[in-house]
Amino acid sequence: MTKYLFRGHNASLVNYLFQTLLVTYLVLLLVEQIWSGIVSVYLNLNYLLLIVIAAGVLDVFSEHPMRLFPEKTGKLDYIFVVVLGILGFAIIKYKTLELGWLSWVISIIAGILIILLSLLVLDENENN
Amino acid sequence: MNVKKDDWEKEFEEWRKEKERKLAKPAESDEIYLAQIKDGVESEENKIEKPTKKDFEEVENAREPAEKKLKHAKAPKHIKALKLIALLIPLILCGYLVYANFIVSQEFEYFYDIGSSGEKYLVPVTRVSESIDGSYREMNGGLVYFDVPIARNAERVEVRIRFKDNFPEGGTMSLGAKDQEVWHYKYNSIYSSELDNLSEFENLGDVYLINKELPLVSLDELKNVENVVVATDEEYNSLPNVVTDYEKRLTEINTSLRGGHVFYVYADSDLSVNVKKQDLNWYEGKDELEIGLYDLNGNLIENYTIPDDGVETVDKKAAKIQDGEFTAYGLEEGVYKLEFSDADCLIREIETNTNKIIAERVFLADNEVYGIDNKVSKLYFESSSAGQLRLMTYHPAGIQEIDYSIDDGETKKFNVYQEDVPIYMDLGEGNYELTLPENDVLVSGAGYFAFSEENYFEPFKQKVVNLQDDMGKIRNSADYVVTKYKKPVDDSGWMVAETEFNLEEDRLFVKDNKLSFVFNIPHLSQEGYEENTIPIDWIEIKVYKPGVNS
Repeated sequence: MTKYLFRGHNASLVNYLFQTLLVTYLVLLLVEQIWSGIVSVYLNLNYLLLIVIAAGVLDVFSEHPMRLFPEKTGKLDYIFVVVLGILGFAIIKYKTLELGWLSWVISIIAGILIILLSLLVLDENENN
Repeated sequence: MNVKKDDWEKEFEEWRKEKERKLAKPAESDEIYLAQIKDGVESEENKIEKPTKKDFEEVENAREPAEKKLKHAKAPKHIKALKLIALLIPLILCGYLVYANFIVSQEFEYFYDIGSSGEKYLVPVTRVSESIDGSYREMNGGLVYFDVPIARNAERVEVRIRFKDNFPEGGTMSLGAKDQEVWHYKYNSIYSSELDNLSEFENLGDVYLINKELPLVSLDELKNVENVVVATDEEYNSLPNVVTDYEKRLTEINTSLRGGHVFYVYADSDLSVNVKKQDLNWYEGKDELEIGLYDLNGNLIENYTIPDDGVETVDKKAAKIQDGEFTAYGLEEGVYKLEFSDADCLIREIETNTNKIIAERVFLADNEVYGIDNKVSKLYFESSSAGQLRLMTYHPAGIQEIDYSIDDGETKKFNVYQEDVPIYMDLGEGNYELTLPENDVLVSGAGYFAFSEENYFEPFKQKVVNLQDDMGKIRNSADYVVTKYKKPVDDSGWMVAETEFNLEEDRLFVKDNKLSFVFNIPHLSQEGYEENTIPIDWIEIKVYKPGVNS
């Protein structure tokens, strides 16, 4: 029998905390990339990253409820994937603006990759 | 007894025959048996109620709410409270960042302990010594850089430096803050033994009264005092003059110029500028020439960039000549600033549609040392009082005898006899015409220079000259001095100097949240001053960011 650090509701709390911190960290990182200095001057993101990693480690050693029914892939999922692709394209274009025409190539390829890889993951989930 | 025996034999015989029959056809009997089982199963199956498509949909629809209900309904209150607290973490962080960035005023302090063995704040490391006694380092190069993190919307930066006075006689040190994307810094003097003597003059803020026959005024009042000479190391804009002999006529300047130049032009309605540029390629990297037209408040009106010639390596062969032009429309009649960035190139020709164009200082470059033919150059300027003209060449090829005449009088000669050292020519009142046979000379200090008498005009109601680190020259040539220079304070054998930069007014260039600073120590760029390295202990920086209400 696997030994867990947290079970039941405590495990779900750890999982919730990890997800919240991870999303917060990623959003702040993105904001810092777009508006340089808006975060890093006031908050060292490396400290937040350490907390995220610690929460992630605790989450790994916590009990996770088994899903009886797999999630169904819906239209919204596909729209979300496309939006993510466009967002990725826009951010990479913004960050590589100085490269000229190469910036277009890099950002378009990156956007397409994001969409294709996300679709692959969705497809795999559905098959499972 | 015999009857019983016969019956038993008969029964045995029947059993034997039946057994043989079964052994002979086993499959047949299994099939019969299996068929019997199948029939039984089917009849039992028919008794079970089969799910319909509708049933599946109902289960699917009920699944998610049921899962959610299962997930949350049974969570105890303290778990729910803790999840709420977890959710508050990003909200509090975002709230804090909005508050810190946009609402509250803040002061950021950075302390660079130069002597410490940890981070090396000063670069390049070849221009800075190793840590001495774990306490300080010595700067041994003319230009030493460091970066400072700058918060968004920051307003000003205060810098304090602790250093030792190991300067040669007349030595200076200034601190520059980067104000352009290309290599260009806005300098504030932080040490000058000559400027220390300014304390003997009366002052009102940054304004020092040199000519005691004039009144002591504040910086705002000074701008309304006409016909005076103001020496400054600041961005100082006097009130512009109205030029009566201005004509919209083509002017061609065929004199080659080296590096960055600032011109003032008088224009009305439109101004066209056509420039020919030739890269020197003396240094690695791109050599882009940025040309900008600004109003006197520093607002960019029009600009153009002549790109690199494609040679980014060191290559002293004559490069191709490139063209660039722009026209600014809708200009009100008045004085405008035409700025050429400092690049590793020559400005071979300027063509513009105004007859009034002057320069603050000129670096004449028609000399073989730049890979072009020697050509005689002429400069015209007007001197309203006694002063000095500064001439500086960096090559033996620039050592020459120049001719000059005052008010069209007899021609006199002046010898530029030495390289790498500024040579000063005393000036009196009058209109001067200089003839330079060899060029390769940086000419400055007399006010403004034109390439012909017709091109000359006085752009401002006051004459503004560069502040020189020589009190004798300041006394002779300036009525007022405008400077933020503060005499360094003695601190146990060390000196503590301080200066301030305003990010908006000085139009400083912040990239990736960092502002580049440079120590400019001219004597360390020259040979023979190896013993005059400058010990530096620490740098303290304060960055102020205003809030909504400040």
